[in-house]
Amino acid sequence: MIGLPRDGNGAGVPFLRKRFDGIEGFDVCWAGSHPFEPGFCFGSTDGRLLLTDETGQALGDVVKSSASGEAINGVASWQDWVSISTRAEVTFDCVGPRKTRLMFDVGSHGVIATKSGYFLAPLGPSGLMTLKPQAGAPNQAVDIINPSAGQAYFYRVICLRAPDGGEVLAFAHRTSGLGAMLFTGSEDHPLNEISYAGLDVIDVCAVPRADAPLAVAAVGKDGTLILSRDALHDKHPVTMRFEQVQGAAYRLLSARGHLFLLTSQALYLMFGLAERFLSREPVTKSPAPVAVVPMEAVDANLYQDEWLLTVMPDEVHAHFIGEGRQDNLEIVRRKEIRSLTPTALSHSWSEQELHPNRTGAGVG
Amino acid sequence: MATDEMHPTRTQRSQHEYMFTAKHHGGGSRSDACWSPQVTRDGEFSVFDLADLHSIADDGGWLYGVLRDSNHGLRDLGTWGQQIAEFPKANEGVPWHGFPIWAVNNEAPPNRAAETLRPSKEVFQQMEKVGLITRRERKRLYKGDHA
Repeated sequence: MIGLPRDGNGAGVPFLRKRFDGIEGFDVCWAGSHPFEPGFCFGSTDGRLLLTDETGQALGDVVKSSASGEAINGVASWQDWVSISTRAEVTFDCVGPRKTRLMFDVGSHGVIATKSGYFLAPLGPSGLMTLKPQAGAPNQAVDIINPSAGQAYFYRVICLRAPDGGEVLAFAHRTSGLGAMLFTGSEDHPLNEISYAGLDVIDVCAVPRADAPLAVAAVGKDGTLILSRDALHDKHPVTMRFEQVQGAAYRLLSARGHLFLLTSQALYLMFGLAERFLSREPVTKSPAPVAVVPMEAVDANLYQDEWLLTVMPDEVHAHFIGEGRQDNLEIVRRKEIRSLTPTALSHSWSEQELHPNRTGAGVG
Repeated sequence: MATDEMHPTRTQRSQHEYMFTAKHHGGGSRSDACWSPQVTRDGEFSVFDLADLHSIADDGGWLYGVLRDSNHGLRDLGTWGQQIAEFPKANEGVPWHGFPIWAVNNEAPPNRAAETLRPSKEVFQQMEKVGLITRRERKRLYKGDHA
């Protein structure tokens, strides 16, 4: 049972967990928010979804959501639509009055939804899939945005909100680095990429503030942190590394000015690091409070910016990260908060402007 | 590596011979999967030997293996970040060979990132059962992510 207190303040909140013992063969590999209401969504390695309320109580039956039975790696929603991604297909379901199901037989590393109503799925070397679905239309076309085969590998994508209300996409492009482009739906815009030799960007997250709406943090597979105040225009972001970070980086998440780095060996809670960076403090030169929580997690996600969900080999844990002093968090109180001094990395960044091609593909 | 080379010993279980092929050590085309220069010959052979020892095979008899590092993680075997190697079933009397296959990063040509190249679910389950990979690593590799 997860059982989240709605007014949780960290104090007394235990190390919450959700197990799936009562569901035959439910091998959890993904966790996130319920697509339509407060609660959770859990995905399994055989392509099934379980929706629960915030107490962990199942809402309906487990649903087979991947026709191929592949592992769920992303769930996103917009209005009445929910999209589910696996390495074999991306599906779109309208649960409103005009029920519609669309399926696209290309593997994805995940899926997100933008505020403007587009679903975006990073397809690795095949590009970025975009779709603004229409209820009731059985056959629709998706757009695939790709500079050209092999020039960019679309591994993760996030959507940022520009001051003028427009949308900017930021990408983790693996060894091609960090990418960013304006996104206006049907129009084409250049894709800016920055990288340096040896960099392998595996995740990117938004760290926006009113004075830096396009700020992002990204992480390399070796734990290198990349901090940028403007993903679209900054060609020389701050690059740093904590030598104490061990293991291969899996996820980088941000909430409330903190950064949460999940690696193959531990969860690193870097308190206030994003906030201090945005406040122009010399983050590469001063020690930072970092809690190290050893764990072997599969994946991680945020829930409403107040809970950090970690997918463990057999269960899902929820860690309260909401308001409150950092040393009052239950996940941290049992661990030592260390003062770690980062190493500033000085790399010769290269940049390139790519001009994506757009191709259409049928989906239905 | 300009020419194929044989490993001096045979696998401990099946007494298979193993050949380091030039094709998968930089002597082939750009689209050929290659072993990482950081993986020694003995390391490469140990991936095959353990795959044979534990009979990590698919329906066609092809073997699959991994290599653990000193920090209990999985090593990258290939130049595209692959962490699982595949060994096509060799005919009787012919040495086996292999190459890194899964999962790949953006260095791989698009045809090498195809989902169809991923080993079957049963292969991952066999690896977990004998302790070659952890439950966590199985789930990540199965999703196409590095472990």
